[in-house]
Amino acid sequence: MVTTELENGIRALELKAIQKCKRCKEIDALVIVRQESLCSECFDKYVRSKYIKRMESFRVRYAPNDTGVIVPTQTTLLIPLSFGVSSTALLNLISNQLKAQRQRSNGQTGYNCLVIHVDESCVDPSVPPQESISAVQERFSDIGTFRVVNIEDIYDFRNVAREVELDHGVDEEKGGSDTFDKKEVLMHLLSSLPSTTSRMDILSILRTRLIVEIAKKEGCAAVLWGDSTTRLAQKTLAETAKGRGFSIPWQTADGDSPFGIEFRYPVRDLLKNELVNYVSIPLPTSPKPLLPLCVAYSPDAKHTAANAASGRNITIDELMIQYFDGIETQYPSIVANVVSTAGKLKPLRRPAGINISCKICGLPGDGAGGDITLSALTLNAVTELNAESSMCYGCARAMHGAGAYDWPLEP
Amino acid sequence: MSSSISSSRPTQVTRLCARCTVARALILRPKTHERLCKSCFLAVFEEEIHSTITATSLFRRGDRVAIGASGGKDSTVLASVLKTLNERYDYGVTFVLLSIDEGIKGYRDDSLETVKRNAVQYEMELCIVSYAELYGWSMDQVVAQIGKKGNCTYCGVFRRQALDRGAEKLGITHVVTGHNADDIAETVLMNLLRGDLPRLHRCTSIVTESSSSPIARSKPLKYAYEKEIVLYAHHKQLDYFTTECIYSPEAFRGSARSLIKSLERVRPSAILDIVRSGEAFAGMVPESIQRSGYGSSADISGETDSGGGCGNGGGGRASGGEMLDMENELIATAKTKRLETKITLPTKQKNKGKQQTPKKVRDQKMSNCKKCGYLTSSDLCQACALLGGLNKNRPIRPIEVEVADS
Ligand SMILES: [Zn+2]
Ligand SMILES: [Zn+2]
Repeated sequence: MVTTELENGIRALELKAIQKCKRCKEIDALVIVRQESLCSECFDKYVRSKYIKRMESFRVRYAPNDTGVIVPTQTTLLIPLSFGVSSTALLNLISNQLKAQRQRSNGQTGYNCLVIHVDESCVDPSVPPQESISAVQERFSDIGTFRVVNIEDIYDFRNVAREVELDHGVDEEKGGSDTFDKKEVLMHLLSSLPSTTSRMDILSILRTRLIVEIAKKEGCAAVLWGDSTTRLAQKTLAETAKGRGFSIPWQTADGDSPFGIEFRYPVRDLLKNELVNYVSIPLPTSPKPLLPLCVAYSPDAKHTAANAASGRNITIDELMIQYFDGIETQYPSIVANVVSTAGKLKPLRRPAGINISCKICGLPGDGAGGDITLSALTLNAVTELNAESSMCYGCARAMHGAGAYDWPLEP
Repeated sequence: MSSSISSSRPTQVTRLCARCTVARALILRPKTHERLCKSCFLAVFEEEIHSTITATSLFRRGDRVAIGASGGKDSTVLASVLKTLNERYDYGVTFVLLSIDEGIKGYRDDSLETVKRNAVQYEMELCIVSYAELYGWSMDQVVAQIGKKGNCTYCGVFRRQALDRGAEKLGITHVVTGHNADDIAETVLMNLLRGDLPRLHRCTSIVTESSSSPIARSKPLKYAYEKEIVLYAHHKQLDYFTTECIYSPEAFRGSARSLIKSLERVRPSAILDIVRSGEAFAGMVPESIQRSGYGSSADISGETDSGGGCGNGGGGRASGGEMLDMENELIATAKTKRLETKITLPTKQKNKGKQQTPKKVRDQKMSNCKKCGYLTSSDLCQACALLGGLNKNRPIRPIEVEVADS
């Protein structure tokens, strides 16, 4: 399947007859990247260079082991895989980096991967997780291990802090899975939320926290998120619109997260449509296009423009996805500039007296209670939100009006 | 997300007001989607503005404060509410109406008639400052000379100074403007889209005191929804002027505006939530960037310093022109940076295109404009710089200030 962006690119090239690639000036150009027509080889190099710039630090390193022998250090990185275009493209880039490392360093690599797909079929049954991950694993068998976890497994981590204190020897099966149905509890939590936007918001928080818990449990050095430039711009505006502006550095920046694990966004310098092209055409590093592996990707917008404008049945996240998908072709630099602007924002210093993290999202609180914005709400809302002062503003907003629920994690 | 999960909340069947539970609910409150009776809606709307004023200690007893009045819904509601609250809570503040006559036929001449009636209705003194008297150019004349593109820049700069000069004439140091929550949310998104960090830092603060102006501006309606302002004006039967500025707003604002409208439809609290995020951004912009400006023309446009003027109206949609300009500017900057990198570091190709920001951060040192004496960071103030361009094609007229009381 060839995407619209690619078709446009090809059509544009046909009009001007066949053009040579602007970089190598030898091979016929196949795609247009930021006003430059490139052949598949130069395009492959372009994408790789953008990735490598962010991943250079994960090179092969050596250190003495227990017996004093110098050996390559073992690093595991967690890669959440959604079966979308960006995270699938990321696996190909990782695979190539590891191949190159093996060639240069006697078969040694700088790291290996734990690829996790979070199965959300209890909420959205459109992605068949087991067969999809098998197909991806077959293609990238050389990069590490692959695993599917269920979103409701977040309830296995409800006493994470206590379990760590008690020792690792505790039988994990006795986490309480007999006493209650995790899936049912999660469904109840989500259905108690006031709107689809809240549900999607909270679901994505649970996904992030589940991935973080697994990464910590498995001793991973970092989580590599597959967000493209376009996705990071979407997130920046969506989080702003959900009252989570304070959390943007933690959701878009490379570096230590407040969860005690490093976050990286290795394809942050590539636009979504560039990654769509990357998985759609035969490349020197992947002669067979990756697109069939991207089962969660659809070239069509999820909502019609009219639906998006009317706000019906669409969430804030989806609205922002459509907005940036709409402008990235015409205004790629503006999209990139939003991300670079977000990157200059520094985390807020915690307000005095607020020293606990938000119990929902786990991020350092922004002092949701007693704030001027909240006092401008109706009196009812002020009392309720103040009662939820252990939440940040965005989470208090998402949970506002929710019925009784069982929250899986401790602050 | 599939529809397998549906809200378990019962649908509201009661027809009684959610606040007083006595009267019949007639109004679906846009901000919270609560059903209220008319008098509870009016009361809640006023109380929220009162709490904004008291929580920020906006006024002191004995203050003389100018209301930037355009005759439009925002400033008319602002004047009405401030009169009500001033009497109800005995603020002890004297409010004065300050209007700008931009010289736009069919828009401002008619709206000024509204302001004159408001002055009588609210028993407030009125002062009108006109561009024609102040600068020798009405907006109609400016547009006739430069066309519609970029005219909002002229209007914004002229208005800012005109408000200052009017306030100065009145001996007033505090001007309140009719900016509402929608305007502020829109500005937050617009500044993110334009990558304007200094503005992102200051656009949500209730009071803006600027080194380039002796007059403090404040926005008592910063948490009030545009839709509620309209409802309030309607139910109080306020006399206001509905036509919006005939010269359309810039593309970024149009783009941000349609986004805000869609967001509000998805989740009514979104406007308030964006204002809240904007308040967080204020503390997140690094100090080195907070007070800086940058040299491009974008610097002087886009601040909703309209005093209830065109920044509050204008249903215009993105023409795309301004976004395309910025796109091209960003590409040009990236290319220049690449070239510089190539020249200085011919072997290090991997630094290509690393920097994408077009901003030239510089400190602002304030002095007086060499022409008119207004505070500025360069030789000429922005208004005189713009006037210089305009006057090239026309004999220069003396700049004078005239204040007309009514
Ligand atoms: Zn939170
Ligand atoms: Zn009532």
